[in-house]
Amino acid sequence: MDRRSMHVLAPISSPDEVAPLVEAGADEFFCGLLPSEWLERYGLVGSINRRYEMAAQMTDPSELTRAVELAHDRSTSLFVTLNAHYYVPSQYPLLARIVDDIITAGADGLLVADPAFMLWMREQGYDIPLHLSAGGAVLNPRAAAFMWDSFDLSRIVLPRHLTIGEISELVTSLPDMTFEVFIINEPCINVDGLCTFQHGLAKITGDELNCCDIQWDLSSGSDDADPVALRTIRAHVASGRRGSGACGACALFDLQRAGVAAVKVVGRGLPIKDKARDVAFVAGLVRFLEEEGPDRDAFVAEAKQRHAREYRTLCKPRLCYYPEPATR
Amino acid sequence: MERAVYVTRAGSLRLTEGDYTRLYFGAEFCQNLIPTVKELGKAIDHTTTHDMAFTLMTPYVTAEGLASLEPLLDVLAERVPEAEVVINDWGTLHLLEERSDKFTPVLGRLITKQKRGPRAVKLIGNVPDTMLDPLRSIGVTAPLFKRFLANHGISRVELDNPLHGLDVDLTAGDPTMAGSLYTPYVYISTTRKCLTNACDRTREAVGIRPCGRECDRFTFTRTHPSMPVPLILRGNTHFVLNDVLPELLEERGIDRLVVEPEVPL
Repeated sequence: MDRRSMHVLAPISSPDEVAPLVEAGADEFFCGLLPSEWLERYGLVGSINRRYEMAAQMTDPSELTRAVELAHDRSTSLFVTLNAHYYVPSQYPLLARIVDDIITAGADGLLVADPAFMLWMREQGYDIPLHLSAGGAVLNPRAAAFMWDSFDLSRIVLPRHLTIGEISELVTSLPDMTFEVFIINEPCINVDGLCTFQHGLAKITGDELNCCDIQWDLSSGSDDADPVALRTIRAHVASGRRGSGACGACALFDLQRAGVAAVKVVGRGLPIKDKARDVAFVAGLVRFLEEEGPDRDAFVAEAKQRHAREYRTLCKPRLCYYPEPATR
Repeated sequence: MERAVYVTRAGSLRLTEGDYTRLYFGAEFCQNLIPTVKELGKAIDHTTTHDMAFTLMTPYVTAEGLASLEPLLDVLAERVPEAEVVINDWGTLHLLEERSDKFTPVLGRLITKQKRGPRAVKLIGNVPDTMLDPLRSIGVTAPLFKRFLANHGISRVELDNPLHGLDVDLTAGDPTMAGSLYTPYVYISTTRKCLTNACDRTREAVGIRPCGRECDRFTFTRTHPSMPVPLILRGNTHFVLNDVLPELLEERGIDRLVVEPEVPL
């Protein structure tokens, strides 16, 4: 199978999704495994991988084994998320059994965020590749170098909160490292690795919406309320709310030129038809980029045209992953 | 119990009168707010006048932010070589280690991962302790990680006081660590896509934009029926207020209170 130099990483929540997503153009997969033993003990509020809906999870290691087999049969890779911001020492015995299950299943790597867990993995002798998730909050080359060397990483996922110019400078300054970035779906106003809002409360407290999604009432914290500022901040908060349809496809030109190794289609919990559409859209653009060699203007025009055709909507600034112009 | 006081701006040094023996100074959440060399000088002068030890606070940073820290470190190395530097970005630790100054690095509360979301308080009484305990604890207490930190010269971690409780024992195991507890403001979340940016001028969608220091003038309160307490939004960061301190702090290795006389941004 021909592989592009910049890989498209796709989310799955079931082995059945592997084949259609390979067909759509996925080169790699990521998924979550939330076994019942972990769920019973720690609940969704204590998710092992910062996904708080069961639709985003596999629960049985046999599902994972099957997904890995299907992925490998199609010359693709599969990575498993164990990317909680932290695990506490009392969780390690169960965590060890889950890691064993993942390795036995044949997964190609783990997406991780907790430095203590990474150190423990290596001390225990696990040599499975570790990808630092966006939860690692790497925002500069020194942080990348420190974490790469300290925790024996094979890839770093950069957070959503870097501009294309900053990504380009970071990636090009560290040519011996491998980087991945987000490209479509599920933006968040908050920095993933630095946000501590509690998710996963729906079934316990009835709070269906996460804090990032609810309709807040806003007021001034001081007596000299500025009506313009109050009105505007309400608009800003609304614009920062999550939502579907976020896209950074226009940035693929600069990301590829910088040497980004993989672009991530987000949305483990989305329906397969949405995943397949998103993967096909991104993979098609990467193929166009690598096979046709357009200049930036031509590529951006093509990306916008394909986006309008595929999603029947025009680009919106609030849903643009990388609205800041590239500086390089 | 050591009492420290934390202010982010030279203009707030007037708020540090009291029985404090250490001054925390600088930006923790935004690289646009990293103080100038002149402001740092004023803060150091203040500690000299008031016989206080000095801790420089540093935020999470891009390469540009890291570069703006270097002149401050130069001044600090000359004037307060024994200062503490709170790191909230591993890149800053990388920089400190390259410089070989005599500073003592401290693990900032952005790296000392905790669950802080205020709605977690609603779990109390609704879930078993096995679910709540990890949310009250931290991962830093893993022995291997403590040794890693010790090898990097870090023996102090900065902690928040979440509404749903704090269950941390820094004295257990080897090596032991010391902890600092911030009070009364609890950091919840931060972003480079500053919600306050240009709030008096434009209703464009938020993004990573040039800073107009709107946080000098505006603080907002966000409320919702599902939230047990209001969120305080200043600049790019959300906080909640928790003025109830846990008991037996020193027995658990938390030997310093970092008092925040104003929202720390």
